[in-house]
Amino acid sequence: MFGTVMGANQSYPIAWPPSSTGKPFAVSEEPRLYAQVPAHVREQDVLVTATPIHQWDISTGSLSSEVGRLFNWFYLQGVRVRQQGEVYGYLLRFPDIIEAVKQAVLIAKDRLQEAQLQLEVYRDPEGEDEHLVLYARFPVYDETVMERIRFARRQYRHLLRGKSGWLILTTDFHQPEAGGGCLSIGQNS
Amino acid sequence: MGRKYANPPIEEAVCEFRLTPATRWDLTVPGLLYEKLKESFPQKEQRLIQEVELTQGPEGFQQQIRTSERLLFFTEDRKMLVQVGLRLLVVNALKPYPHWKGFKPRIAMVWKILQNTVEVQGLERIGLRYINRIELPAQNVELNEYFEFYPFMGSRLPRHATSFLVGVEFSYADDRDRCRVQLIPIPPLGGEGKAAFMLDLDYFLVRSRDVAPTDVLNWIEEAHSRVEEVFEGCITDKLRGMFWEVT
Repeated sequence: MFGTVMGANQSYPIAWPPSSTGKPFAVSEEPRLYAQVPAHVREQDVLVTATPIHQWDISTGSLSSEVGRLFNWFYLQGVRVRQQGEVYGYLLRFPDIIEAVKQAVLIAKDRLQEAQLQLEVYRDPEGEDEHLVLYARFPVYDETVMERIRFARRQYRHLLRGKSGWLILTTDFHQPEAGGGCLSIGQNS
Repeated sequence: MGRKYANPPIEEAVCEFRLTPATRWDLTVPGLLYEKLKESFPQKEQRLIQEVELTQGPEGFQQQIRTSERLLFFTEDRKMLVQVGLRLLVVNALKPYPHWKGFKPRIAMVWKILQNTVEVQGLERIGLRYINRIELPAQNVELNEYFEFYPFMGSRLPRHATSFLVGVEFSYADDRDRCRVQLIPIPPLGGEGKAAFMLDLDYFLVRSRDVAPTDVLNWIEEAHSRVEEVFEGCITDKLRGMFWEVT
């Protein structure tokens, strides 16, 4: 069940799901529910409406929600995102590569286990080319690194075929930076 | 007529039509729609979408993951798009929001083209959703300075919360429609020292088939008015000032 709390100055109808008594009620008639309402709100004439959760329908058409969820997923996977606004904007414009990006991250994590992954947007300073780059940064670089990266690339590249966006897995030969994912939730009081 | 802002926080506006199973729909429909939409939405792309469906049965909640194919038709500047799935049509407007006078005609055009392509028998769901990204210039914020919709925390609870999720559904038109409002802290895109929140307003038809196809555009206009009212009800003048109202 999901309860909603409303002040008396709002004149919304009171309802109760069909499975119950069928009678509308005010909170004051239901002491158990009433006790859950904050005291300063209870001083007003509060009404509670309960709704069966099966009616919570999910809209699936939002791209920004999907990209937002992807950023949370990057965080959980320990992927650092540099220029977050740029990456966010790129994925909103080219959402058809979202699946390929996820697969590339999973493959890189599996094949390049000691590497730190960092995602950013690359812009060609002399042209209009723009794409995502997933950098793998290793604590130690040896002669096998590039071959392992190329092998990982081959595992996901087919997913980018015919897509409007592009992603490349490579390295910039930098050392991993301290910390995991770079997203932090603001401290709210 | 609602307020108009020069710097609105709208990240995305979404209008969604889900048709009832009685509407005949076959594999040729997306192609027919594209033919009629391609002048305005020329860039065609394809995606596989994973949808999670939660249903409540006698044995509790059941989760089902479905994979479905969806076609996306973008405008040339990629700021607006139409998504087509099985008995599903979605019109999205990305930032910068073209304002209602720019978004509604696109919705009306797409809806008319859909009606000219398939015989719409009924609507399972219509939704008008506004996703707002609100970035504040401080990491620690008192929510009540900016919002009139935020979680209540009693005096015996810690004063410092790092995250929360608050959601409410308001009922309209004798519970034919609902407006779901959610406020969630999200990672700021503007760098360190900021706090960001997503204010998600989703006005949708709860009772399927209760809006006739001929009434859809009136429903959408009404939904937009309700969403505007709820948005204004969720924010304080201090936050309103950050959006630069246009008079």
